Amino acid sequence: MSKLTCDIVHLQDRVYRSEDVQMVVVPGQLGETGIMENHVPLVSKLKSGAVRVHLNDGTVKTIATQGGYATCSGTRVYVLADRACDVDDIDENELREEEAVLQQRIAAEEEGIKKKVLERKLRWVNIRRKVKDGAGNAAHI
Amino acid sequence: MATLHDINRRINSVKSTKQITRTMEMISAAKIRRARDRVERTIPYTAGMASTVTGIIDRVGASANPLLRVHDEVKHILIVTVVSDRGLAGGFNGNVLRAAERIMKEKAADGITADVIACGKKAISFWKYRKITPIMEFTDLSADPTMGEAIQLGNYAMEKYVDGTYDEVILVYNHARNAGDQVLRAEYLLPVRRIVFVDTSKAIPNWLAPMSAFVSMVDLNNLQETLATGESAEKEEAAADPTPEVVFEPEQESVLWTLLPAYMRTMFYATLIDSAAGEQGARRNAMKAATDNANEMQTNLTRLYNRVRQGAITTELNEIVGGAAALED
Repeated sequence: MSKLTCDIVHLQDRVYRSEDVQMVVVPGQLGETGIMENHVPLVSKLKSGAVRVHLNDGTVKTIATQGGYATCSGTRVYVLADRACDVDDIDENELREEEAVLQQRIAAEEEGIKKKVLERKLRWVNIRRKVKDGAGNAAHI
Repeated sequence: MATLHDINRRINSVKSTKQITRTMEMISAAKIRRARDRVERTIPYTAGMASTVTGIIDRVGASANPLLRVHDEVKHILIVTVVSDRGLAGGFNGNVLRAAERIMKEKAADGITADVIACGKKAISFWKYRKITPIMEFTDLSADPTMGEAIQLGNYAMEKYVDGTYDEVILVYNHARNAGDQVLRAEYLLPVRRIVFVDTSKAIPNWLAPMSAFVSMVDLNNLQETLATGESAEKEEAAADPTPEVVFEPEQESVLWTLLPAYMRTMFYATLIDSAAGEQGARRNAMKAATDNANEMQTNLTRLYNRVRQGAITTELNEIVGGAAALED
């Protein structure tokens, strides 16, 4: 029985935590990385996509993430994402509404930092949608 | 001797002041919960970031990135003071600003000059009164700090540290230990180094623990001392424990160049929201004390009012009795 602890957090909250993890698969910049117990210390920059947490009971938990890092040290895996969301909490209707509002605001905004921030938020909508559509196998987006 | 009318006027004045202080106390009490909730929600990320960076510093060494490199000679430093926009919060603002001034004076005695960044209107007026112009000024962030301000602060500090303008960056602020208690903190932000750090495996499950449980912080009173012992402990530990190499993906340089700035921004953000939570706590305490004082004052004044009123009645009775006696004679 593997004794791996996994924390998936973003700046505003903790999204997921489990102490009963067999393996965590993260979407690293060089490709997917599976982290198991006693993995060498690792700091990996993440692509946007899905983090999959394989629990000891055989279930797989999928979390959509945007940007960030994954770090591990022996028995602990941290995913420090810029944004993260449990795939079970993603609602297609909410995404559609959010997308429409963001598109309106982007169209009204002049070029600048604010517009870039809004565009990044819009990408986050797309990431969540893609992860939701292909939950479990969408690693890179 | 005050007349009944004078005393009555004072009682009314104290009553209206009490209404204000009590309202402010209740407003702060309501805001504390939200402010602390925001701090507590941030803790898992901040703790993870701090543990990651500390783990890396131990393994890659100070030469891996300019933000980790300690400058050989310290000539010019940056002090970031984080206070509030408004007063009526007891010593909340004054403590931080006086501490920053003290650090500045101590550094000046060693021939080190300092620039300041003022976060909060109270800091701006404090430094301007002393003919010191802050390099950067932030207002209206004590109520609702955003990541935008943290990014500005972080980017400026990092850019100037890397180009050699500053040799150290110190952050002075109030840490909200709990809803009613604030602790003055002075913390070295740059160079990024390991000063005090607890076992992360204990710090994380107890994620409601105060910030001091995982952020490298130094008590103002033994600033230098803690740094010195921290450094030597670090060396001993490094010698005793040959830690395995860290694998970086994609590669060490690019990861450090994005991770360390992210760490800086996170720490600034954590500080801003921590200070905002502390401000509400400090204001509630100050206003509670003011309300209690007003209550006591009101009791004393009412007692005095009754005594004077009774005195006047007694005098009047005496006069009547005396007048009646004179008529009888």
